[in-house]
Amino acid sequence: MTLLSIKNLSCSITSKKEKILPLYDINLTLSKNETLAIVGESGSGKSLLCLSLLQILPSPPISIETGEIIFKGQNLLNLKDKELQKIRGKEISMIFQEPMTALNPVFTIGEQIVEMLLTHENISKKDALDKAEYLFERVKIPFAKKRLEAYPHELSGGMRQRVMIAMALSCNPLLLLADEPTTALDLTTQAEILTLIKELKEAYETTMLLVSHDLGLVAQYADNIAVLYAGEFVEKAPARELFSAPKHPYTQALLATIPILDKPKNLTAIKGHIPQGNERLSADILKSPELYLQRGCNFAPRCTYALKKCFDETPPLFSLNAQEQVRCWLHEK
Amino acid sequence: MKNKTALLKVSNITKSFPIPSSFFSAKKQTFQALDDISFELFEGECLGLVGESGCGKSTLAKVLVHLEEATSGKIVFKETDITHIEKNKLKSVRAEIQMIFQDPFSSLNPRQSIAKTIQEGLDIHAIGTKAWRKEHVRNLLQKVGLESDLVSKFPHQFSGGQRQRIAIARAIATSPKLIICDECVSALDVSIQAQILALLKDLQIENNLSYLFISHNIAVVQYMCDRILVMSAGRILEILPSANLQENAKHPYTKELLKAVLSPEFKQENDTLKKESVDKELRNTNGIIDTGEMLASNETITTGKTTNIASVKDKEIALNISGETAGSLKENAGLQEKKTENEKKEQAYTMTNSFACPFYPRCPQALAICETHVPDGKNFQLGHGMQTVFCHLYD
Repeated sequence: MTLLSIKNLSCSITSKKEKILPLYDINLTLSKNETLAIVGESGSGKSLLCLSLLQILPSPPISIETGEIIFKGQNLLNLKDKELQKIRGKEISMIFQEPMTALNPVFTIGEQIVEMLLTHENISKKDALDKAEYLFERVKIPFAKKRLEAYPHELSGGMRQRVMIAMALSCNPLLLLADEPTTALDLTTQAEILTLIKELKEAYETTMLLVSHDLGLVAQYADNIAVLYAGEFVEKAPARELFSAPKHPYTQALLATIPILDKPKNLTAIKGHIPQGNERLSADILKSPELYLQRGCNFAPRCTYALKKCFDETPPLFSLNAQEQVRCWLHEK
Repeated sequence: MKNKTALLKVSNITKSFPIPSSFFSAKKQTFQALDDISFELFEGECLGLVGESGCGKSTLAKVLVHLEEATSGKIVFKETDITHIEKNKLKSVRAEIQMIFQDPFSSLNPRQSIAKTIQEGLDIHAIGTKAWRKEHVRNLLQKVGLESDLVSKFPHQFSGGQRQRIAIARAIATSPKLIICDECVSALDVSIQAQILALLKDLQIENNLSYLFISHNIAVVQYMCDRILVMSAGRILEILPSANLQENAKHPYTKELLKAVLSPEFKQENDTLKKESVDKELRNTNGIIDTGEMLASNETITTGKTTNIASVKDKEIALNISGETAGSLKENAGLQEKKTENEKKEQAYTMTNSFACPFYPRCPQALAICETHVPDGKNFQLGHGMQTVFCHLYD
């Protein structure tokens, strides 16, 4: 059953000099109980995608140009802010990357979680406090009751992230957006938090969109993976296929840059860097699509297999089979 | 490594910080950040240092470059004792020990041009003539893979990877013998990380450098280093050669760390695991696993751990290490008498150092002696290298 589908979503950033598209023509479907991971380097547009789902983009300068975000049969982009507010946190909730900046430093964590419960659920403050305590126990915060009165700075990074997870799950959301949930954490803490997310996700039957730059993490926790490069999907595949036989040269190159424990190999760095500023897609292509088609592949300048065609014509997303899609001329049928 | 001359020899270093206490409290409390650290770093070697955050990795780095003074112990660099060196002599040592910091966005002065940033060290140590320095800066930039015309630009005009290259150029400017890399790739993207690692390796061979490579990413440390130090709560728990870690690691803490490493490979067993968890979910008709069951499953997991099967299941198990390293208040140790199980656990969260072995409260194989007696180092021959383990299991 499809829970969320994104169709032709494009976002733009307007600056004094230019207007570029950090996300262009994003198509995505998420079925119930699925864990879809979005991987990419910084600047590829991963977090932007999460923020545009909830429409909490800093606007201006960022705005959604085209597309549809269909969640439970309704297009979120057509909803009024009041209606959206009922969905945010209640049906779609998000775990942010930095638990220190995501939590408000001047309120206790108890107050913050209770505020969320009171906004979305018709319960008394006392019940909300009880529920908050229960949630803290679920995310294995020791001394839950005492901790409700703590301020964010009194907790360690791992504990803060647990609080974030408790808040995100407080209203039994259908869809959980996890934006780099463990990047700021230690190795062992990361493992704990991820197991916790996985356990709770299964217990609450939540669908998850996991955003990460860490391919190792994604390999362990995602069912399907979409690789984002400079605002466009370059490969979509089930985790098994992506790691056993990556199709897109970018995915291959990315995997070759990561050292694997106890498997000595030579790392091959990807030359160059991700397109920035005016190297990115210009917003002009929204008006004249033929400009986009002549632009060439985004990854071509860094690609070891690049053909002449790669610089002259933009590859579409080729479907290899029902589950795998690749944006590369090498896989043209 | 071949001739094995010790470039840096650290013996029994401790570092404690005073904890601000109330004016009337009789006792001054101290925080033990480093506790009896001893190791040797050989010429041309890359020595890795791993551990969770808060374990004292960066404090050790700071003590070595004299940004902090050690409370006790001895640091010998190139056969000179530099522990309490005078200020005028320290300058010459600083030219030979350089540091690359974690965050290239805050480690470069935004108001200095790149030329100034790199040249500053050369100016301070008065190396070469003025004209030579200028030329040298351009050469250094080329060496780290940047255009030499960029000298007049400022840090904000560069990307993260480029800035880290500038930081590296600054570190190698004074031709040091030892570079301390404190998490120098963890702020970078994976594709850039590989570029920087390759650069560091090339420079090491070219200039016969030694590195102390600090990172929490064990796979990266293994890729870069010959030997690895494993630290927790200010103490070294294991020193071992970097090859075949999973097979050779002896200390339970090292094993736990290794299990927490996520490698970018799809494991067949993942599917079976998933099935198991689905079954479990089906059993719980209300959809919520009650805590009792959760604990029970944790228990089975711990017993599984001792059998030491290297499989994905183990990885899954590893995810259950409970507790985090945290600050340590030695003084408070006396206060605890009879406490419930739960309170003990709580204590483990906050006072790792009150135990003789910092891993004791989390260790699946802990013995009674681990709580009270600090383990001595036991040496094992491993191939051509030496492995040292600080654990009572190997008494």
